[in-house]
Amino acid sequence: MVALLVLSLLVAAVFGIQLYRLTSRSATAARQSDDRLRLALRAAHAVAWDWDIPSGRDVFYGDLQTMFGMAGDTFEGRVEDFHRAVHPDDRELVGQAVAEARRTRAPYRATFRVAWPDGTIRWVSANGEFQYAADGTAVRMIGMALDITERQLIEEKLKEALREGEERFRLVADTAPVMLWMSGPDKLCTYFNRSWLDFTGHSLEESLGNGWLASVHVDDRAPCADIYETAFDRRERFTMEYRLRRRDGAMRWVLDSGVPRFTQDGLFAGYIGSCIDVTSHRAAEEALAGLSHKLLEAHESERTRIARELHDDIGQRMAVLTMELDGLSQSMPPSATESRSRLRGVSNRTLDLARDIQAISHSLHSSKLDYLGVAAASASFCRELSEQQHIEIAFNAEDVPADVPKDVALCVFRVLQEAVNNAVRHAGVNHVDVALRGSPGELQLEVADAGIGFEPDVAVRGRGLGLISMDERLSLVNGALIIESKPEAGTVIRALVPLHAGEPVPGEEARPSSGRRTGTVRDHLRRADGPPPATVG
Amino acid sequence: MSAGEQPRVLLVDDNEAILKRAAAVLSTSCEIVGALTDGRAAIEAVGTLRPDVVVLDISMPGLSGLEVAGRLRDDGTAAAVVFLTVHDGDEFLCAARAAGGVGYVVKPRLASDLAPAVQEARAGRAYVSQGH
Repeated sequence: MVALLVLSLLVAAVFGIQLYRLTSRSATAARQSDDRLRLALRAAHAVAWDWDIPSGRDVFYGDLQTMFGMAGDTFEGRVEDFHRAVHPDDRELVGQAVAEARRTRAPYRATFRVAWPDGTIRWVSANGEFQYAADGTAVRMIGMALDITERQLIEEKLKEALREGEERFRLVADTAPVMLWMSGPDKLCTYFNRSWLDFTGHSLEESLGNGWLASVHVDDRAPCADIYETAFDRRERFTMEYRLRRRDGAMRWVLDSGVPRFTQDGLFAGYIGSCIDVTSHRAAEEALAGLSHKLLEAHESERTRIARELHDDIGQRMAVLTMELDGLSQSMPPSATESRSRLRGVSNRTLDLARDIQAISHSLHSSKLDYLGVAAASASFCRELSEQQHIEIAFNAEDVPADVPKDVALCVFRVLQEAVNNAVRHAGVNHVDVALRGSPGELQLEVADAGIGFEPDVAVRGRGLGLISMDERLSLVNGALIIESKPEAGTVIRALVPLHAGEPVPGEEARPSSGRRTGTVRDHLRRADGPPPATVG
Repeated sequence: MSAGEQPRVLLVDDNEAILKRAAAVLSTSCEIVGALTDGRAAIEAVGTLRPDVVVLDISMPGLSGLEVAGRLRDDGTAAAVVFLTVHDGDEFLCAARAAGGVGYVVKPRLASDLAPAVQEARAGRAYVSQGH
């Protein structure tokens, strides 16, 4: 505001000079005008000039001492005197700027240094314009010079600070054990740190813009670009994993996290991101998942083995024993009433024992699952549990194919057992709905109750409900577990399994609208706060 | 086969002790034309031996008795099927009927129930063990 006022005064003053010359006002008026001009110029650390080209005389207004370090009375008014005051290194620049403005009739602008007689260097910003005679000859040049030394020093210091800041950033960035990158508001990458360049073996120039994508695995480029551009357009944080070619040619998995960056004025400036090599981490996770799967398989296989031993060996031998006891009883003479009666008692107890062994075998591994299929085995399980627990379990099967693969059938059956047992034990209800539905290519299980419910994000961290165990079982057959629950609002557990190997994990197309919290186990684990449990299950 | 002749019976069970016991129980009332421990072999044998009744175990490695019965039914075999099994649940009984079985005998009742079940099956009538 002050600068605007001063400039207005200056313009008014220069305009005043011209008026003075043109109208030849009275000496008093001229003195007053000169006083105003002098005051304005002094306030602005400025000098105005009026160069009469034909005569070569240069009239300066203002404090020449402050501007050029020379007393006003030592200035003889020739344009050469001004040129002498300009720093020798900048004289050519000033001369060219003057000549250019004169030739093109454009405003004259130049920033240059002046060298005072005592060696002091000051910075000056000059603006002016030529006036021309009717024949096109330049006859006059009027202008003004501002002392901008203080501003220049501040700018220099700012530039220095910026340079230092950038150098410090680069030092930190280049010694950081992570790969760092930056992009501009046009999505193109503008910076990669030393770690990135060393990792990929490419130069900064090769990596800039979209050049870095050349190091990304060809199958990961499109998904990567999609995540990046989607987040970029929304100015959102993003995290993605992709394979990046290391300089030795090895494809490594990296975890890349990007955040939008903004200037102090709040303007979007692009993104900054970091990448870490997570190949070992992924390998460890996969090994752990593999181990978990193997444990599940080993557990299941052992249960099946023991169940079959009980059924096929001990059960059959018990059956034969019962038959022999019956045969013995029948072969005894009718007169041996007491002996026959005792033998029948032994035979009946043997029969009970055989049934108990069958029951243990069945609880370890359902022979109904093997011989009657998942729908019949599930119906039988629900009926038996319902009778034991005195709770109504309504089972409904629709369009379940007869040829469900054995691993899928076993998985769905185990998840059903776990989910129904959970509902019976924890939901506090006397009715549970169980549905098994087949659709082209997919088997869907739904276990629903209107009981006390739970907070899924918390429950996945606990051990009681075995949600992670169910999820791991389902992941063995490319299935997914979706939990929909809320305290006091009931629970629905859904398991979706593709019927053919190699098909993708089914989506969450059956989104509910009950207000209950919904998601896969992985969703809930991601949302859950706090450290992960030491063990799962 | 005329009504007075003994029914021709094929026994199929993966447990040889059961086969032996069943053969002993039926020896006086039936002609045992074969005793096999494998479901696939049984399907072939039915074509060549042409039994009147096939006594089938349900739980067998490879093809189960239910699958063997289903295939015999699909093939239009004339032989009647009597299941001889340790499974005593309603679900198995329903599945056995659906597979075309006319008799259902639980193994602990073999001594008392198998012979009448075979005779009933030969006459085209159903027989189910008590307290299966």
